[in-house]
Amino acid sequence: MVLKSNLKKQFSAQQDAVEDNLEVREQRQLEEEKGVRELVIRSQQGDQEAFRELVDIYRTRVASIAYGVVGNYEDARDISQEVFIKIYRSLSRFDTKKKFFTWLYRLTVNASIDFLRANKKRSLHDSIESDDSFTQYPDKREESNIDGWFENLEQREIFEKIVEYLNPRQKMAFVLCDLKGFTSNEAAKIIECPQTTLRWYLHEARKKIRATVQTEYPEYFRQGKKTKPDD
Amino acid sequence: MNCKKVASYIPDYISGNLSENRKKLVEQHLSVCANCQSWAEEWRGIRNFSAQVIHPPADLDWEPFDRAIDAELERNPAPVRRRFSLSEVWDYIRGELWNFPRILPLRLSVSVAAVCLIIFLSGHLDFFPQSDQPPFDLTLADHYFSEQDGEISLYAQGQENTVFYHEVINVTSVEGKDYNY
Ligand SMILES: [Zn+2]
Repeated sequence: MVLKSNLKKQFSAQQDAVEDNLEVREQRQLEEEKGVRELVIRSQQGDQEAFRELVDIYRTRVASIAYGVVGNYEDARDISQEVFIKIYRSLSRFDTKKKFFTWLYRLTVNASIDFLRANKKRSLHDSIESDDSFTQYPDKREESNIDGWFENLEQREIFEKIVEYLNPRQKMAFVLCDLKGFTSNEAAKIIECPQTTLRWYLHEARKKIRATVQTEYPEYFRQGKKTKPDD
Repeated sequence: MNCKKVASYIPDYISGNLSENRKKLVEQHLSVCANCQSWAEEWRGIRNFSAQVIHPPADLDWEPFDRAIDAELERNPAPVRRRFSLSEVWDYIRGELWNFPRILPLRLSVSVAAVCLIIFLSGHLDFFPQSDQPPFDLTLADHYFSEQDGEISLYAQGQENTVFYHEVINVTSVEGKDYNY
């Protein structure tokens, strides 16, 4: 599957890229869209393999966007599952002239926010406790991985702390624009709000994050070195 | 550009979402301002850290997900095909609407009723809502400008509510003057 491996390469490259040239990225997105559109059309015609490829390409991206809102990998995975099933069921109604990822991420955003509404009572602590990938420790994990396990847990707590004062829309704007690299125009289409509203969410999110980092983790993120706040 | 403005551009600068023009201005400022440079480094740190955290770990168990997708594909071997294209449906409806009252007087009265309804509705519905008007005295608010290419938005946060006032103006006409702060 040449197409598949090429697409995957492009996608992971986009994910890894920290600083990116806008035009280069736009060009790459255009190429991605061509491949994706073909897969969508084949899926609409009943080609299950094509649909599986779409799932392969997008599932970690969908899960990471969902994680940004719900703060739990297991829940994020379940949300992605729900999203892909919804996509599959309404695939025939999708207009292939439109961008697939806008539709996919819109469903992701909505499903994540619905999930939050339905699980309002659950705190971060509960969600970390119930996250199987972490409660399975130490059975499923090797001794050498223990440090990594604690580090990961700590990082998740720090992330939750940084986004603690953001409402779901502000989190979404932060995740889509700052972490996933969408332009505010694309993110506005995904969230289905005017671009100015999106800029406002983003502005508030960044302001809150900056304030939290300044009081809670003043040196933690400086100059790329990650000194722990307590050390 | 002053520090406050540069600081607000830093996140977009780091994620590569600034126009070339603005990028140059930011870079010029960064080369002479240690404060903004340090904020840029810090934001880069926050961004890279967060992007890494939200990425699902390699050992996340995808088995329940795979099972659910397999079950779905088995249940519905092919997605239901759309029977009509939207334009076909529209042509059909339009044709039917026009053909339905085949007797001339009836057709006339339906048309008159439709026109009356439109006139009635247009009086009661706000077809062109003036949502871009500032809804309260902006001098009381905490102001914030965000500039995008070719347009300026004023965000105003009052005591009770948050609104924004958006106006497309020619940005070049205000270049060099700083209305923001
Ligand atoms: Zn400065």
